[in-house]
Amino acid sequence: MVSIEISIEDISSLMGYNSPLAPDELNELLAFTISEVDSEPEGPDENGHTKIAIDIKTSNRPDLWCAEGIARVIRGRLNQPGLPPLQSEPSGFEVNVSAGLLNVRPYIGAAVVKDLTLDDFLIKQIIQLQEKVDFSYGRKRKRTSIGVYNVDMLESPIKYELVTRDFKFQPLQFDDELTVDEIFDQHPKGREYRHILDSFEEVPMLYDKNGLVLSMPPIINSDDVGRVTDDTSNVLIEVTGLNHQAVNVALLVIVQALRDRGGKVQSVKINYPADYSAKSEITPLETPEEITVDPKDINKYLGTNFTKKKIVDLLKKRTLNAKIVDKQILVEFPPWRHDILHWADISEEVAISADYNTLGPTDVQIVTPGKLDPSTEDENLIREILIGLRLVEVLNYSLLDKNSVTHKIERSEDWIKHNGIELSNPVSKARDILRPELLPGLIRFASRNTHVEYPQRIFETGECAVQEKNDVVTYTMASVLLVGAEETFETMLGILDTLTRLIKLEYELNPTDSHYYLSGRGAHIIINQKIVGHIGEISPRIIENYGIEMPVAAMEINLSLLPGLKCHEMRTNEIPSSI
Amino acid sequence: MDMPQEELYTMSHLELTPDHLNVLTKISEFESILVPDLTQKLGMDRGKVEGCLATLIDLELIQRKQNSLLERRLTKRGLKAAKKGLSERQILEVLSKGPIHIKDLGSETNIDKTDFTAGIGILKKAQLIKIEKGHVSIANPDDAGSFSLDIQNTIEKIRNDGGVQVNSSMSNELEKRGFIEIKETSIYTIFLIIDKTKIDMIKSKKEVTKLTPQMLANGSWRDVNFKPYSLTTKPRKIYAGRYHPYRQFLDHLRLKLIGLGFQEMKGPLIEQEFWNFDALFAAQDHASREDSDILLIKQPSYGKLNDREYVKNVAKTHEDGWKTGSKGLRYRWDPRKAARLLLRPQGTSISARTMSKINNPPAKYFSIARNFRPDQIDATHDIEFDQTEGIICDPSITFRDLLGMLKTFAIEVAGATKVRFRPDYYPFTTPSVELSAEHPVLGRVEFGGSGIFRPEVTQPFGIDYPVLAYGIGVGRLFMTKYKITDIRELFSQKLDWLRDGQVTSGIQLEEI
Repeated sequence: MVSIEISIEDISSLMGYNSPLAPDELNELLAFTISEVDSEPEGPDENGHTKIAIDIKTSNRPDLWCAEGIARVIRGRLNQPGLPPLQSEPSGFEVNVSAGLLNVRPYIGAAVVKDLTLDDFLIKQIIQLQEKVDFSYGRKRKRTSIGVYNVDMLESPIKYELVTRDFKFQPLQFDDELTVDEIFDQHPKGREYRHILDSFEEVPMLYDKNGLVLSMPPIINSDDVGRVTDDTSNVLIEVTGLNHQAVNVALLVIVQALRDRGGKVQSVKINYPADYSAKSEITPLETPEEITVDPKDINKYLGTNFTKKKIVDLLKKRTLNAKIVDKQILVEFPPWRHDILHWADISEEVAISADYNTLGPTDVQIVTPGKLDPSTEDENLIREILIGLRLVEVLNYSLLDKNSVTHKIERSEDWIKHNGIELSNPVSKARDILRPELLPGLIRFASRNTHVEYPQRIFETGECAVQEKNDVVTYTMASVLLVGAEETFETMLGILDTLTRLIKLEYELNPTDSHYYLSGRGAHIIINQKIVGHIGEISPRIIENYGIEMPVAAMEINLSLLPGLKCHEMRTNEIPSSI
Repeated sequence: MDMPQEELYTMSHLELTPDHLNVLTKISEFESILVPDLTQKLGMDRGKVEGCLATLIDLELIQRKQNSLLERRLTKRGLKAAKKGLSERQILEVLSKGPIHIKDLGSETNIDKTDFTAGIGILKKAQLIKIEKGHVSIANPDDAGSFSLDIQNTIEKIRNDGGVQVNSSMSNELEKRGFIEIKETSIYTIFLIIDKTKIDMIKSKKEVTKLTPQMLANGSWRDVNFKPYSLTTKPRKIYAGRYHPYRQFLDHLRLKLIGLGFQEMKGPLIEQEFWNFDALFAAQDHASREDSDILLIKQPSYGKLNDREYVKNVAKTHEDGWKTGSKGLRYRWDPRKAARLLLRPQGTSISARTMSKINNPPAKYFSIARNFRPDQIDATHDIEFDQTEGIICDPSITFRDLLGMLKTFAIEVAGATKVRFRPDYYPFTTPSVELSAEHPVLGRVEFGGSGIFRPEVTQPFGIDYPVLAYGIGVGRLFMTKYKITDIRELFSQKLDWLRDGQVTSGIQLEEI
């Protein structure tokens, strides 16, 4: 999802309306561009702009991340069907790419846009689009990044070359010339994006015939030609990046937006060296692309009964071109629509054009038996028994802090290292490990309720996970905690005894010296010669660690290990068995 | 007084509870006694004493006699007179120093105007004073000294002892002048009507608090009195065993989905990127796959891809579209990246696993899965949340059926009345649709998203027909139902709330 701020007056006029739309009317239209209004309108300001925030949900349609692109689609729907204008005259500018770029940042696309009338608002809109495309589509400038320059200061050819790190120029917002290394250390943009170039001894640089620096892609523009103001009317736009197609899409998105603003777009010739991964070309690459679809497929997919002509009409209202060829439909789409991969995508265009609410719902005619997963059924069985024993069910997070499953319960960190699922990029230290069992969460719960009436008798069931060789196993646990002056091994054993009796299992107890329990008052629970859990009186050291000041008896059982229950374990690498 | 033989017999068979005997004995110490006095002397609760007296009267051991009593109480005016003296006496006091102009007399006596006028009137009528050209003087000095002294004294006496022995003419006079109020009240005196010495013959009857099995076994329940329960005392609080409200809500949601013919599916908490992304046609450099958008684990950091054909199909679909009819994503697919392990960020991975298992359509599945995504934790965002996901697979399925299914969910599951559809975006579906539902109580509720799985998602698993996929944000539905504003309260750490928080059945969004 991408969020932008636009002006209601501006977008209404771009759509062809004589007066500004109401926010609700705008929101209705935005449905056709897979976006929605996301704020209350603010304004109008002194320049007559009422600002409003818009969320665009597509992550692969950068052409919609600006007022111009949204308005273009709406115009297509209202009164300008078919492809938008896509031609440019040569500007006479060329870019010469040096061979070394191949391994650093190989591709570049460029265009010149003339006769622009820029004001403060429009410059901000262009910067917004540039930033959104750089950030999301350009993967934070790594895949693509856009530069805009005052073309009147430049002379062709532009050189796209590598320079050493002692190369100096004056970056935007700085008064002095800085070397590349100084920019990396001192300039905010240098610090933010240096990681993209840090591994290279030589870095990309753009300068013109006379050595005038445009920018160091994808880090920072120069302070003179790289500064666009409301006096600028002719600009050069370039996009550099790692992916040839993505570079062209980013360039097209910004160029088309400026064309919609009345700019005259001119092409630039890119000269790649011989033996390069791309051939020399004239950018932007504006030839529409094609896909052939079968109207029968579309009707079957959507559950509709549209004629071929109707489908053609619906597609033309989506800034696409369409015509019937034999019994098929040939669809032409603008070169920035790299999201169209399959005829199913054309079905989506037909459905959106027809309006989902007009298509209307039909009843699903399939009859299938509904049922719970057996593991849910058996987990519920255990929950029901524990509720019957007057325990209160607790629900804790699956993510805990490492301390809760080690030091606070007197367990070594070593155990966690070899068994635990630790996060390598946790958001916070309070949630940095996936629980291997439920008891630590229950003890912590008790520690947060020391002001509440005792005895406290609580339980939880739920999924936990540990390492297993090079795999991870997810299983279902049940844990009970009794906190109060009269709670002992015996009161807890009563619960275990009842639980096992009701599900027809025989248990034995073996002494354990588990870190959890008072010596001589803890035991392993053994069913069918297998350790399935443990039970006992919690060690006063742990009770002290948590400041509970009440005796605590505990029990934890791995339901996935209980014979007869179907709370099956799940292994991440296991092949899903057929059903 | 001698008692007939018969009466003695009766007395010796009489049994009274300790309380009753206690009251009776106390009464016998007096010739007669007022009920309030008796209560005070016994130190018992008034209601209890009354109860005992009623029983003793029934047993003809005591009698109660009603007397009426005139109670005289000083009014506000009376109280003032008791404190400052009667107005006529105050006037005489001032006049005893010599004649004075009536205006000066008023200010000198310092009594309010009504009382002053009344006082002058009384003195004039008694001919004790005379007024000449505005000057007041005493006319009859002999009587002036003792005038109204009896009234003054009586008022003071009433203040002190309630005026039990005031004669009726004086009483009437005082009432007329508004110094007193007379109220007639009934008082009861109690006295013994049996010989005092016979009390010893009465047996003390046991009073018990609890019926025991022994009493039932030996019949002794017949010989005891059961102490009555107070009906206003609150019992000790009982804490019920109960489900966690949010888990109960999820249980009810499961019931709803089963009712709609869906079968539950489950998956592991730690997932391979393959099932979560590659199988769902997310390019390996897709923004949602960046380290900053997922939660990764230290050990083991990579799993092992299985050797099924579908893994190769997925790889080729990414690279060139394979035979799905798609252009593909046109990059070199890396199996190592697909084998990386992460905390499951979406339940859709479970749907992908299920698709790899399906042999025979039709099939309808759902899961309620815990998901994990890095986020700034606050009232509306958590790194852990539950999602309901599901699929419908059948060759007959269409996009309009998907709209129908969503409408059914909104109406059957959440109690919505009207639905609106809006184009949406998910990388793994086309078309994609968002449903917003109009709810009679809560207004517009965003319910969830869905779409038809892209052919690039289904065909690698050998499924060459549409699969509808849906997702419902269940935590948000629960929060809406119970008006919870902080998402962290789903995992409430408040035992009080778990013990006593009120819940309603079902997952319908209704006012509670």
